[in-house]
Amino acid sequence: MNSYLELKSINKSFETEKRRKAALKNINLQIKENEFITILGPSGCGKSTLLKIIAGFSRADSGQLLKNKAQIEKAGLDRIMLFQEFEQLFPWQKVIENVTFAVKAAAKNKKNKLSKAAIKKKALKYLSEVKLENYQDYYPHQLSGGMKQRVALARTLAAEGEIMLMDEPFGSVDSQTRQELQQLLTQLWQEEDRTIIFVTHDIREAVFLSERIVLMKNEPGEIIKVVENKMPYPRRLSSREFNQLFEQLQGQLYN
Amino acid sequence: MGNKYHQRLIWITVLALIWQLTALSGIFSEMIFPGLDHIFLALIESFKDGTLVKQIIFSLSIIIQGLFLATAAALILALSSYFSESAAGLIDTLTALAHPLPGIALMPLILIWFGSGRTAILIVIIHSVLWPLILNLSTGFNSIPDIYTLIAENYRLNKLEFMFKILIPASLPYFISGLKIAWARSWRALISAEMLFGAINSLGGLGWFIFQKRVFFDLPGVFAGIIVIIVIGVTVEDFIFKKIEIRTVKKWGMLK
Ligand SMILES: Nc1ncnc2c1ncn2[C@@H]1O[C@H](COP(=O)(O)OP(=O)(O)O)[C@@H](O)[C@H]1O
Ligand SMILES: [Mg+2]
Repeated sequence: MNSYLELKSINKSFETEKRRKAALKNINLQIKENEFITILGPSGCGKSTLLKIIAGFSRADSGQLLKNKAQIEKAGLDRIMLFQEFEQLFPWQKVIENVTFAVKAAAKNKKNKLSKAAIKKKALKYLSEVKLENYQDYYPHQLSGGMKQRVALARTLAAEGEIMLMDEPFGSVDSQTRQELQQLLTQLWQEEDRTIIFVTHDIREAVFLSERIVLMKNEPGEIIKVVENKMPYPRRLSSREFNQLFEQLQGQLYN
Repeated sequence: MGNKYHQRLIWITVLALIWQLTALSGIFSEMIFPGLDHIFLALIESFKDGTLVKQIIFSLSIIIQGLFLATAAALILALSSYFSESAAGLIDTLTALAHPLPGIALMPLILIWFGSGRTAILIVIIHSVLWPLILNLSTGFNSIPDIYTLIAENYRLNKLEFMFKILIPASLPYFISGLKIAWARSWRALISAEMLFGAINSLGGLGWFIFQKRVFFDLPGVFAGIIVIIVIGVTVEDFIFKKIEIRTVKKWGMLK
């Protein structure tokens, strides 16, 4: 079994005013290297909590989190998070500087010395991957929401971590832009060796993007089922297969 | 923007006209209500003989030094209290005690401890600037979005990188508004301290300058000094800080 990232019996609860509320209950999941996996579930089922544990931003109450059999202790550049909030970009930095931020951090982490020109070149490469090389000298507030998320995606890519964690990154953009971004993401994932763990509550998004879909339910946050999605890329929202899977998942989620 | 200054210019002209008419009407003696012509003559005279320029340079050099020292100290203290809870407790207590204390109230003590030289004035300025600046900086640091600290963690920034790449730029709007308060307060503190502390070798700053003019009952001279104080105050507030804002937080969309 080529398990790359392993989650073993993860539990997490939060203290609220009245009681301890279980947010995640007995989460077991194995993720393969270079896999595109989505975690799909209704709002409040613990998707963000789970992703934050994988990122190392917060700790599980119990259970194990292993990468290549080694315990994950804290946050690191091997697992870069892409958030939903537009404010994840630094407003005081130009688009290009927001991306060089990641290039520099990654280089420093690997103890690589890069020249200024090399840093810029790398950042530009990722900016052009998200088709924003012409906007390098803009400030984030001059961009639309979709463009901001593309810059954030470029920054995440530029960190060159093996694993990218995405917490509903396209949740705040209009549906037209969302489809463009989804398409872009699957293209990029096919071109590069990356593992993507993508959180969403949008069934179509999960079906469009990923090879495996982890279904979760609410109260407590638990995994119901893991569904394989072998449809070839690029996927078409209008295809019969697509809609069959969509309906199957809908049935499983809301029963 | 342009409209604001346009309006201001009109009102200044109107007020100046009323002033001049009152002076010319002879209701008050020329000794206590000089006309603008006398005031401007006094202004030109003081500039010509070099006394005023010397005082301006003296005042500005102290205030710049004071602002610089206080800003550096405020940054260090606000950063310490951001990163250390026990430092936060101490700095918070000190600020709560010292912030409401008017600089004037400290002057007798400063006279006894430090005499009446440049150091004394500098201490008054630092006192007037340090506490409001710490308050603003701390508020700024504590109101940066949580997402920034997660990003710093994720990209493995060390404390120093976090400070200079994220914390300080992210709280720049607070920093600048703190500096504006600091400037306004220190400019007032400076003028009063200069009046109280007097001069060494006839160099005592603008506050001392108008105080001297009063002693000789030179009212046009007093007004000349007041005009210079107003002009410098307004220039810094309206032009220097505006410029800084336009080049930073406005350009970055962090300030509407
Ligand atoms: N820091 C926290 N403190 C208290 N409760 C929390 C915290 N974070 C999440 N929760 C609770 O845990 C549950 C799961 O939250 P979350 O992971 O954000 O869900 P999702 O991302 O799936 O919408 C929710 O009931 C939420 O209220
Ligand atoms: Mg969430």
